[in-house]
Amino acid sequence: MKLQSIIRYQLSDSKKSLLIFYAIMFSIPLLTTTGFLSFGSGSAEVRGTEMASAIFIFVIGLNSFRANFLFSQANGVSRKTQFKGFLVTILLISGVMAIIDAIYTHLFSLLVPYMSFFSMIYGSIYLTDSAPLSALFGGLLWSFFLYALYGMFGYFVTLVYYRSGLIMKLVVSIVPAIFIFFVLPYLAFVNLAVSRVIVNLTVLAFGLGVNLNPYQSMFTFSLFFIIFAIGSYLLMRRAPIK
Amino acid sequence: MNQIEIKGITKVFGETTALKNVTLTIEPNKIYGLLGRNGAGKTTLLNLMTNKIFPTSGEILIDGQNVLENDQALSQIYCIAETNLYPENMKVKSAFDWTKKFYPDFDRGYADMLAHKFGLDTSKKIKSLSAGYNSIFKMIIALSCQVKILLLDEPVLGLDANHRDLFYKELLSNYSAHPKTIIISTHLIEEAADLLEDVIIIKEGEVLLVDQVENLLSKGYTLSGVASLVDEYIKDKNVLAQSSFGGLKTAYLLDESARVNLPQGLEISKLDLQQMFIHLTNV
Repeated sequence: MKLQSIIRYQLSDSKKSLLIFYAIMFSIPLLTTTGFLSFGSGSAEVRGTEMASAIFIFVIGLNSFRANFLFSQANGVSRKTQFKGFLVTILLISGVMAIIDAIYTHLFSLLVPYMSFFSMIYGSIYLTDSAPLSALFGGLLWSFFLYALYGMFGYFVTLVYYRSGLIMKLVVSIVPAIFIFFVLPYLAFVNLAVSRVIVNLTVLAFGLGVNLNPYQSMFTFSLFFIIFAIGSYLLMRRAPIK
Repeated sequence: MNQIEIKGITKVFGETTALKNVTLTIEPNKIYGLLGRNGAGKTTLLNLMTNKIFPTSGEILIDGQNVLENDQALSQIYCIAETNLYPENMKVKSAFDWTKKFYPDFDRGYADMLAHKFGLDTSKKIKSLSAGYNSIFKMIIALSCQVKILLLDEPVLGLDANHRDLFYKELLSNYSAHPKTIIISTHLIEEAADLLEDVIIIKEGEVLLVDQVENLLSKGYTLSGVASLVDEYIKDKNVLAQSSFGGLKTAYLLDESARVNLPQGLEISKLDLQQMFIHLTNV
């Protein structure tokens, strides 16, 4: 009962943002075809709008904890139920967004030269006659897992900040950035073996080897989704009202 | 049954111990007053009872069920918190609609009727409500939820005298129609005293006293007269406090035998709940 209610509430909380986001997204091809928006003369292409969706759902994840937590607490909802509610909500939103984006990709490509992010990476394996349907299915699934991961990651980040004190907030803000932008490039630069490991791991994680395999990246997205979900639950299960 | 058992609850925040080994049994369908000075641990206790925070040790049971992460136990209880837990951009009527989804017994008609009585515009956003109307909004939800246990933390904060009077009347009429366990934490003791059946006084995180209001009031007296007479009379009595002015003295007593064999020259008068609370917690 409470689970259903919290799912409904969280869905309704994101509904308005979703409508605004897609109103903007769908206005782009409309404005393009009506001549209000121009990509310049020549052979301009629009690519990879899935990343806009991924960033959008990351923000949804970021905004899904604090206010919902307080509201849940006002209504006698346990943290466990709220967390389950978020899992269902983010998976539903990811699913809906993946379907809308698949339609969007199809419509947009009819109007302007457009290539989805998925086609840019894995498009070459869908060149046979029977491929359009499997490309559609593959792209839809890939987007779903990507969005679910971004949404969960946003939730995890907001929970880390919620549970941290001022010093810890600074540490979790600065340390990952230093590691990704300074330590890792430095290690890769001074040690070829490190850069080889990074490249090999990326190829393996995203199925970018000789035989491109999008399902490998879906597995990686799912794995990280589970890791962030476990992390979020551990942070949330004893979260106090602040 | 709407019994609440608080067993050995201790809550520590950093270096501050807010509650120390509190053990209490809240009996069903009674109105309790939870009294204590600022920082005594009242809000902490209410927050623990609704699992808004976690105890350092001990447990709280509602009808034998631990409240920790227990949707079933938590759905029997509603707490008016001092802070606003509702989204600020939500409209009052929307908050009523959502509450109905979480508390299926929420009486929407009754909520609308109370909103009309208190002059609360339900089309307003929560963030635009004044402090008084914010209290009214939360109080209406609490009364309309029809839960078995109501926890009211400073329910009349910011309310004018007329609205406070109306609130006390509505609370009593709601209680008469649907008996429930109510715990009111308030600093306006004099106003709420007539509502309360039992009182729990907390001091510095420890339970100082749990008693029936009637019983407590029957023990409380103020004794005044010549200092030597007063001193002689109170030497074997339970004295809460004393004050002297010139050769006169006033003693505040919590003792059933205080009225027996009262010597001439001494005057005795009853202590009300607020005076008793002040003297009990001032020491």
